[in-house]
Amino acid sequence: MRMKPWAALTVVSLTLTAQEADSKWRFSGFGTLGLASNSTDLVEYSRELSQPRGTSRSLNAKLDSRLGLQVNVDLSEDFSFVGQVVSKYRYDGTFTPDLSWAFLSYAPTSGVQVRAGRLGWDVFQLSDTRNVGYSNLWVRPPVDFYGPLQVSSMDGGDVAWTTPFGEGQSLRLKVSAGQVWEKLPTSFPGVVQELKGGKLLGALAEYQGENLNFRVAYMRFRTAQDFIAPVASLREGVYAFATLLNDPGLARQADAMVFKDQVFQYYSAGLNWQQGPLRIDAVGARVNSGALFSTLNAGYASVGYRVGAVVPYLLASRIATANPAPYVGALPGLGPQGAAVAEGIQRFLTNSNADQNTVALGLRWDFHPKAALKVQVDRASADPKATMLWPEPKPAWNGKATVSSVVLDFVF
Amino acid sequence: MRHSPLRMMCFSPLLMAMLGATALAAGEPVVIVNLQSGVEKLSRDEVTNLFMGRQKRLPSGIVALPVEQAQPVATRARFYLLLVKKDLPDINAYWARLFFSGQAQPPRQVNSAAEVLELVAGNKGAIGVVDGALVDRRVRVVLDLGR
Repeated sequence: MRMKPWAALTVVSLTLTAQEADSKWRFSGFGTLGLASNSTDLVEYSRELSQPRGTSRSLNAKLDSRLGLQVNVDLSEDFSFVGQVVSKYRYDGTFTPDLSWAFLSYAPTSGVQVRAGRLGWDVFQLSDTRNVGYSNLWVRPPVDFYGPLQVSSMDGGDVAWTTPFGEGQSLRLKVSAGQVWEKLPTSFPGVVQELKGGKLLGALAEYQGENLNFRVAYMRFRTAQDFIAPVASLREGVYAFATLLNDPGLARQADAMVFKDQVFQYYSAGLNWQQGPLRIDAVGARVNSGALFSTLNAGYASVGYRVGAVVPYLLASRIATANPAPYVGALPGLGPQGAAVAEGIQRFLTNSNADQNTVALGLRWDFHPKAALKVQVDRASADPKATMLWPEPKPAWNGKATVSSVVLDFVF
Repeated sequence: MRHSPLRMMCFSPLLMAMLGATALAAGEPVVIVNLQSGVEKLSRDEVTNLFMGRQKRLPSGIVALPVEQAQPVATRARFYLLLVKKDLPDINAYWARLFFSGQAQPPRQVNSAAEVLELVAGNKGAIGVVDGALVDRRVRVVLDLGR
């Protein structure tokens, strides 16, 4: 069952190789071969929440390497189909390909596009092309900003309306709605958090000028699943202690430990300015996470300057928790069992905290019309207790990590 | 390689005759469409929107088929510099984003001006860019990019 997307695409490609001359079909792809290394073994550096493990000192090819295959089919003047599978290091530690896009597009007039099926979730500027390294300036989209996203695509639909106005300007409006199908790894080895059935809803407006692209968006994600069993049983443990200690605060905490119907709201605004050799990106976002999780503020800014085929760049990013989940102390007088529950709660709560900034220096070299080589060094400074984005933190970790990366991005 | 229109007239009266009433500077890229496209003129913005994937139909309502000459690379580079003042690596990255997020398909690529002319001559919605000196009666010039 897992090989389904690959198999489907292979069958499609085999049947159609014979019709290569027919321009209605188009096969293409993208990929990244990457190597990264962290300066410390006290913590692992991961790219996004969907990665169960990260990079320590030894060279790691899983962090950034990925491969995507896409088929475009023109069905008629108005209708077309796009299917895409992506293989990357995912929640279960494998590179099992997932169907990332599969939709029917209907474009009845010049500026209107209606799409239905599986679609990328474009909550932030680059979130629906996070896997397409070649389309981005940096080695990877800033982890402090894109790393916390739980979802990458949805089953649903969107309607986009683009209208040109004035000199070389256009405005694009889009609304989208759909359901989540993905899973996330957890800090419990081998245990996966199901996200299936979560509801997504959103709208965005994008201005495109000659040099300036400006985008604002609002998205909303309501969860539909409850927590994995270990957290659910932790909740039971907390209830038990709350009763034992007659502690209403602790009982409220237990009440709040329900994942189902949590609402995450994503507000974002950002710009991209490209004039001659200069390119500037600046994006900010706030994620309101309801009662249970931390509310997060995040942003990044980047400056690049093209010198022929080479663009050196500087990238700074930050994520901070606006209302941190509390650090609970030990549960006094309850012995080792109490300590274990306290530790479990602690681990659970700090996993939803993120407080860190990163400065990265890098270089993109377009040595070929369809390939680019990039090198980048990231210096991350984190609150070592806010471990949302850091798998396997050791108590001795001081919150610092320097990550060196080299990637080859290509399209075909 | 810029030639003045005057010099062109002196050296290739036959070519100029072929171009009919449209006076063009050779060496300057011009935007061409099919004779049945229902389009007489296009503004630079309209051409930009069609070649950058923001509009999918010609003003006449026909689905547009943008065609670009990928070889030699310098020709393609010059076209995008003239049209949107962007370097090829930026154009390529731009298209990777739009294409792999299912928003639009990049212009069809062919390897010579002759192929551009042929595709435009044979497809109602096709729109292409060729050296003004190469334009013939099979197609219609709707914008002179060199101006």
